Amino acid sequence: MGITNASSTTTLSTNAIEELPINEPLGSVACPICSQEFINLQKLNKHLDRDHGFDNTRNKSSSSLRSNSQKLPTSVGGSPKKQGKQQRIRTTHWEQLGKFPSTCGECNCNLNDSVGATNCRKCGKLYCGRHCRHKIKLNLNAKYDAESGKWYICCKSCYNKRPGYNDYGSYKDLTDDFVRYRNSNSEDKALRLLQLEVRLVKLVDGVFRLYKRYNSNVIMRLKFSNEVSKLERIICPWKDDQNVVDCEICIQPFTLTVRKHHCRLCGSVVCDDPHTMCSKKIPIQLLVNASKELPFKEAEKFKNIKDIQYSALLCTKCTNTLYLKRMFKQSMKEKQSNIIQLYENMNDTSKVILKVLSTFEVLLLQVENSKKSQDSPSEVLLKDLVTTRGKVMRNFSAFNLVVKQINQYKPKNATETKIQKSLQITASEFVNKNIIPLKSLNFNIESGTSICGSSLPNIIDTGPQVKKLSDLLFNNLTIKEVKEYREELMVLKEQSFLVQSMVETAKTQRKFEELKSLDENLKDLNVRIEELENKLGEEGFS
Amino acid sequence: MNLFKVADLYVSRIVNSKAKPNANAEESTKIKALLLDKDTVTTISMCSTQTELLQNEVYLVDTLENPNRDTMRHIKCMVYISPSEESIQLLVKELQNPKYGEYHIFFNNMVSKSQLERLAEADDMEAVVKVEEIFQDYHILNEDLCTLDCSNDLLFRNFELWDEDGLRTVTESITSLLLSLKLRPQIRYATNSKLCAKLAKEVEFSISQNDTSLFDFPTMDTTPILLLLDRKNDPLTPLLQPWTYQSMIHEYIGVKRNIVDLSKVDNIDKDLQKVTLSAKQDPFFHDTMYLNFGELGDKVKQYVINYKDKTQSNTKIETIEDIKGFIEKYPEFRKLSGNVSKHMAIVGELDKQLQLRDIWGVSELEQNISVHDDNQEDYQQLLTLLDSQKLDNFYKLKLSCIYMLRHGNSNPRQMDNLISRLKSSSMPIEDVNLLLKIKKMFHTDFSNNTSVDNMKKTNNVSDHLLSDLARRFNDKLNSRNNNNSTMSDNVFMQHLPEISHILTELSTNKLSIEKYKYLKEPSSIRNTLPPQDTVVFIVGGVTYEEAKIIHEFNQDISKNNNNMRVVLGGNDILSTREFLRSLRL
Repeated sequence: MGITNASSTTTLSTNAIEELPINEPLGSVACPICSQEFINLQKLNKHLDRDHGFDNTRNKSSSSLRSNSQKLPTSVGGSPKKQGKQQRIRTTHWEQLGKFPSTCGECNCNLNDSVGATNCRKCGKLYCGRHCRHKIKLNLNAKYDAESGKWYICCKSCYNKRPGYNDYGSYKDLTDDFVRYRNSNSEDKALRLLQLEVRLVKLVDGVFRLYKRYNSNVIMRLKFSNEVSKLERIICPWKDDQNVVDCEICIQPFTLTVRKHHCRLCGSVVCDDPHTMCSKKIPIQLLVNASKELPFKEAEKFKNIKDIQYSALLCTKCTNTLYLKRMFKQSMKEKQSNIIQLYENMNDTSKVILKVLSTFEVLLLQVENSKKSQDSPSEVLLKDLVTTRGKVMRNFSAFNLVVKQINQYKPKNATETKIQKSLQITASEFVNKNIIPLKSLNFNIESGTSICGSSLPNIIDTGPQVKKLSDLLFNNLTIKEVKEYREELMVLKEQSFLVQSMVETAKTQRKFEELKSLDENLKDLNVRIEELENKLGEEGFS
Repeated sequence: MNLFKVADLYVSRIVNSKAKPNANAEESTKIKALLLDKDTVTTISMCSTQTELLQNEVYLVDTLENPNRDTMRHIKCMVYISPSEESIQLLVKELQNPKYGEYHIFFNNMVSKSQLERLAEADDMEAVVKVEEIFQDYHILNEDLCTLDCSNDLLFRNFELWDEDGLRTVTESITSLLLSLKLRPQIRYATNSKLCAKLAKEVEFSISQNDTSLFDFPTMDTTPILLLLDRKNDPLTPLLQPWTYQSMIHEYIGVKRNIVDLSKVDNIDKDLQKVTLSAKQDPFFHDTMYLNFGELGDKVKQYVINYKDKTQSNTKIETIEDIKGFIEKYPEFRKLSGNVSKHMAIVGELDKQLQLRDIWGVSELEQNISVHDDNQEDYQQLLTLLDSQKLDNFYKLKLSCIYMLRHGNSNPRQMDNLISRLKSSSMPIEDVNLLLKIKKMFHTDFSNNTSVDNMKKTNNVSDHLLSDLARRFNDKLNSRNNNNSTMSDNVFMQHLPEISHILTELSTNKLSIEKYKYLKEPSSIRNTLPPQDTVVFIVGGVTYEEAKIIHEFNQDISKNNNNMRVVLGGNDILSTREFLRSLRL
């Protein structure tokens, strides 16, 4: 079938040919799909039929275009067909034109002959000629095949959905390699550590034994230090310091002021320069305490380590190997900084708020809707609303409390100051996003509301619009409200108890700075508790 | 191929990193620290904001170089650094005595085996739980424009010879650009450029080195193209005065890494001395960055009017809806007011600079010279401007340069006349020498080049396309200008950068293979369609005017006019001064 036979294909081809440069040499035409050149139109037709599936005669029942082409007189005899030899692309999934009004999948224009209806060769949907111009490589099953497929036209969405077309951001995980490299060294390191540990145990045990033996009287004590130095030389062979001119760690030459020393665990010769800290005298008490899990035989029995006046001189290398990892693990177990706890509190509270707020908004919407429809909102709805409002308020007050604590927190170092600032920004963003819009419901706009925590207390007391609504309905405290207040009271009392205990610990630890802020907190809490108790009156806890 | 999306993806990879993909939520804390080095600080600051980081629990941002960081063992630390020697060394030190509890390490480009081993060696505490390479060793300016931030004088001499380190940096960065876009391209380069040829070989080598490990992307039905161009082939574009908003800010005020320095402006508000201007975060800038000065004026006016409307609407808050609306918009409103004053300040300064330096006259003449055939009228006007006392020497030099590049060969007598005139005027002798140097530098190359009039003689087809494109472009401009403009005509934007024709030709598969050679000749079957994805890299720097062309080209995809997506890159962003300075060296 030539292009002149099927109206839609004609439109497509002419459109495509318009794209070509005008001064193309006459007689030669290029395929609009794959740009291959042909000497005349007939050859091109054949090529289109064969390679791009423009021949619609093969599948008469399914080809929607066939029905159109029948209306047109067949003007050209067409090129000789080579059916059967060439395999053609699947057309059974094509959408059909004409049975009901079809529209272009892209621009929704009504499809008819003038706009040139075309099926996307991949998904089979119908498009107008302008919106089915992309080219894609398909196999005979109309599936994308970049390797061995042939060029066919397709729609924009098929074009964009090709695998890999909108793919970006490659990355490469090197963790496994890294761990492998780390493990390859770790055996040597473990051996080295073991050696040092064994020596340390020997040294400490030896010192203890000697101490026990010579501690009895003053003369013997003098002998003690002599014996210890003998012991030290047994623990590890000392390097000959005659030929050593430079410190083995900092490489500075030894002088009259920079003296030679032997590390008691590895025997290497290092300096005692206080600036480079290549060696350090460490009291035996510290040595034992920092590595309690080592199998010291004598130390366990010996209670008063403090009495032993002995410090071992260790080089930095040995100290680091022995203790750095221990210290690291130790500090990981320690209680985390208060600011991080505060952050976690804030995070939890804000999550709860978001959750409650969403239900609250849904309820509010329902009430507003029923108002609009002139019905009085149902009682159940209002009750729900009041409960949720109570929850929101309680959570806001909890949030406010946390933010206050964050604001009053005295950072221990520059990093904590930075974190505190970040937390404040996050809190104010949260307030901006969630609380201020809510506040507006209550006609309470303060110009230039400062977004920091300081202005927050107002929010809690004002509460959202529904308060008024509910006030109309429940002039006195309802049972529900009593319950709410009681709950709040309980929370507050618990909090005040907590703060009080914190005050106590602060007092014992003599952290008077914290004490001040804690006291303020406590005062706030107490005021609020009193308020609530007044409100509750006889209904309160007796 | 939206670079901002790539950046977003990478940032979220970093901040949401987990030790193991299935790791449970049972972690000690969620607070994260982000540790950067001097390269990645820029990357992060250009494609993310503090708010975005805070939303992802990054409450602490610091640099690896800062030695005074405090120990916070309960914080997870995301390290994002370039695999440079300095940064690796610093990280080794950090790992030997870790300040944080857990380390996730990200590199912005490929890291070598030995570097990784050194880090592993240092990690005695086993604090590192994740190591990953991501690929963003470049700075993103627009969604289709990136720069490497390497000025020309660091990379090569006389536009002839690569500096060895510079070549490596550029190769690595281009490789990372390709990886981040997941492209395994065929490389084409400007045949007459030694710089491009060398770079093409290096990039190809780098790709083949990592063929299976990194460049293992599924084959696409058309192979993407990496097109390497040489600034030397189009020296006119960076010499002409630019007129789009973005490029004018760069030309007259100066913008570095999205930060505009307004501190030299008289009576500037303290808050406005340094302002950030990002196409990603500032929607007004995003809409106006490619507009010319006339259109920009209208937009700013509109913007201010909108703002005023909004302020006025604030005064009459009567119903609950008003209040609700106001409060909901309140943070946005504050942002808006900040933005309005920012753009007002910038546009005001631009206007002042344009008047002060008499840019209008200069620009009209240089556009005429660059587009018209040699004619007496333009020449006479050039002479008048050169005699002008008011005009800065820099612009006189630049005008003569443009004239020389355009007509210097065809009209040597007038050129000699011009030079002698310059010599006798107050122009410093070095500047006149520079002119001669440029003449020598571009003498052979540029006359062979597809400058406008040469094309007329040699290549009718592309000329037709070109003029057609130019006509369309100008028509568009005219129709815009007719509606509302302070500019009577588009005389200031007649010149079209070379890259425009190159792209048009490439997208129709008509780009000359002689002039833009393939590094590896493709098999003929795969080459039957124009490429769908193209990365253009200009050795010697790009201009924002070219970024505009790329932007318009990419816009055409949505209008179904072409199917090719383009990303533009360059080792630097050029202003006219910057370009002349780099020629001087």
